[in-house]
Amino acid sequence: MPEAFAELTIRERRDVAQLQLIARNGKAPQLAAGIMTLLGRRSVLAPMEGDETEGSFICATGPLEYWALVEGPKAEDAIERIRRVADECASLFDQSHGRFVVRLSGATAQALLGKGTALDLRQPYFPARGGSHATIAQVPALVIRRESGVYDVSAARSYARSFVAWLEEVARGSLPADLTSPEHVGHSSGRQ
Amino acid sequence: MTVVDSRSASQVGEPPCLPTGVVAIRGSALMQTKGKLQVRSVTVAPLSGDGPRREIDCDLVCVSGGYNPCIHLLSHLGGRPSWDEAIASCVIKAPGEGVFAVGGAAGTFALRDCLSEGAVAGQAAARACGAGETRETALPTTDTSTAYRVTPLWRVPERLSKPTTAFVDFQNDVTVSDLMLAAREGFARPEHAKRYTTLGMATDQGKLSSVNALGILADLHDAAVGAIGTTTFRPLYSPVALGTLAGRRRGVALRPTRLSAMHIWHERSGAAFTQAGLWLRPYYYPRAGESFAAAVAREVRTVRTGVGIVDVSTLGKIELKGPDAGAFLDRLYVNGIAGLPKGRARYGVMLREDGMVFDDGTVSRLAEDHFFMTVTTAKASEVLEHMEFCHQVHWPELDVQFCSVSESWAAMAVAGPKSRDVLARVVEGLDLSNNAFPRQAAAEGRIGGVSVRILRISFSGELAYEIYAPADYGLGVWQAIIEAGAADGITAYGTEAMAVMRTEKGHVAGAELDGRTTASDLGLGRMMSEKKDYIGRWLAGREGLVGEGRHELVGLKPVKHDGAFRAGAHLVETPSATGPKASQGHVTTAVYSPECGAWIGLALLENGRRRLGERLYAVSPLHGEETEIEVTEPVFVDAPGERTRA
Repeated sequence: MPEAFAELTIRERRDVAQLQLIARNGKAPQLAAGIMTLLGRRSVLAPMEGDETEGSFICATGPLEYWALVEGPKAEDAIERIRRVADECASLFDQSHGRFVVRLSGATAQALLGKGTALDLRQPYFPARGGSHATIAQVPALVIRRESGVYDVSAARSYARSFVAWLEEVARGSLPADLTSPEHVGHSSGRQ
Repeated sequence: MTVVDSRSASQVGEPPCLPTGVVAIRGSALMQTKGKLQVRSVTVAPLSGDGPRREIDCDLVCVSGGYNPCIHLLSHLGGRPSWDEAIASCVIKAPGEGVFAVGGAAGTFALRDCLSEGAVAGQAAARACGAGETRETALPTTDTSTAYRVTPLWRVPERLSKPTTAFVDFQNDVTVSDLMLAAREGFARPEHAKRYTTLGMATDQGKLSSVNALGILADLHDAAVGAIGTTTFRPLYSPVALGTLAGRRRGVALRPTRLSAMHIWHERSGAAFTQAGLWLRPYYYPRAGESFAAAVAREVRTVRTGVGIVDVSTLGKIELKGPDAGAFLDRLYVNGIAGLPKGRARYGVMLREDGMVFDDGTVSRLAEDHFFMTVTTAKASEVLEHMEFCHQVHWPELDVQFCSVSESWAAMAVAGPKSRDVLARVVEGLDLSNNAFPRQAAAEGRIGGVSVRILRISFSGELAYEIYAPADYGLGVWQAIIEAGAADGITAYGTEAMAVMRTEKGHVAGAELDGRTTASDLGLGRMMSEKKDYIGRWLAGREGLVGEGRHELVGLKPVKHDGAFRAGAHLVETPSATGPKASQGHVTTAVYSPECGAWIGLALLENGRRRLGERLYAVSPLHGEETEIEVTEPVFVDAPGERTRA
């Protein structure tokens, strides 16, 4: 792997349940408040903002829409809590089987993703715990910045082979050598 | 070597000393060149018109028009070019904050002036970057005798040389007469003339021609060059190969490929694949030594007589929830959906606003407020967009939520007279008998412990079931059915066998849903409800979409049993009839039908339904083919539909 991606880790995350919540007519404030309470926050999630609690990460991904990634030993409990929030104010769609999730972490993860998407991934415009629907390398995906230098990409499963091929090809290729600015330096979990 | 200088001796001043053997002709210009594939001679004449023309043999002509500032980068940064009469060229006087142009880029060509400007600009740049005091730097001594002067010759006067052969843009062959025509047509501004003539659009991007064109256009309007405007230089400065821009997006990497959850099984089973949009789908499954035609015929026969399974995961799938979901669907489809009972599926057709057929598919009601739609592979995203538009703009008051679940469900159709027997071996928790699970039933069951959705609907015209399994389990469910059907000789079949069977049944698909057909054209007019409103209802009844002359869906078969024809062929009364007016319709689909033992097809034929039994010719002038055909009903197999009810 070239120097530009020396601290990059790409890892598939399995057993991540994914739920799409869409507010029912006139119930968007109720849904926002329910998610705020679930996440133990003092304010509702702003557009593209996400937060996590006890194995579930929830992000405001569109008007009236939230996306939840749930994993870990208490996933079933977390899903049940989300179901209860949705019960009266939202329709819930299970998208777990339709997506695959990869985690990119390392100093150059942002630069790599940036090669495939028009999203501005820089910190002020895409803060940590932010998420947005986008296309990466022409693949529809949800991009989530879990923390600085750590991204989860939830992409449509039928594209998996092409997407992984793109990731590998770009990671093997070369990027400009000036990817050492503070913006590009994250907390790498190390090579795996 | 001869130097032909358009300037007169008085304009040049002290002539430069020329090397021995080089002849200078002043106050003259080239009037003509001669030669084919290569220049052989030029005709030179005085620009004053006084004096003889002379012909000079040569094999190369070089042209120089003086310097032009290289303002491209400044232009890319947003600077607007303006005309500088002193150097007869464009400059950018205000390149923008933080940008300093000096020397040739600023229209300064004398060396001493360039050095001086550079020193001043360097100091200014340093100060702009936060440097403190700067100090003067002594400039090197330079020769000041070569001040830059230019006397432009935009074009040779018309009386001396024909404007039709006076080339301005040597790459795009734009002549003075082309610019004159542009000006006469009202495209006199440089930005307009450029687009009218293509001047400056070749790989040199006007580096050789744009300044001359400005001068010519100004002359044509008897205006100063600065008054008619300039063109703007845009990136890229140097020609860039398309391959460079394409980068890795070549060949299979041009766009991503979509694969179903069962793809690995298809690969291991030796499937030949075909592209369907971004999807890679099994086309057919050849056995050793088996041809395409033989494999497809085998697959069709197996389904018609036994059982087959096909991967239909590419279908668009949309899930709807909410108390108004049924009402919402009622407004989208031409036929009634709101009254669909729980546990039932229904074929549906959608129209566009203009009344043409948009898409077709199925709707299943899983609960009172829960529906599951399938739409065609090709229109999956368009239908979802259409639904979003309708909900957000037309009917925001409806309490319905929906999203694409195309990726979440692996889908497979199990078809054939033995399909029920095979499924009964693996499906748990659901009675598949004809009484308990009749045609168009929809329910949940389990295969291998996995919850699946089962719809009894048929595209093949046989007893058939569509199984929707959570995508992660799609491969497992597929394999379980294959194993259960092994004793009955189950075969996987591809898109070609599917196309053959849908043609035999007269089912419409993309070739017929081409955006120009109405539901009535396709024989689906009876589905159009008169009890409710829906998208496209009123415009479907407008003049031109009803009545005489519509191209209607019909079937075709060759008059001679071994005759063949192809999709795209035109239908004409006599083979000698030519021209667009001779065509009375076209073949949308043509396949070899093992069931009929002959080629059959579907077509859109003018007033087609009234012409059953008529004989026409299917002609393809491109291929030099003509086949006499007979117009038939579009259903070739099991017209009453008894097999699907078995």
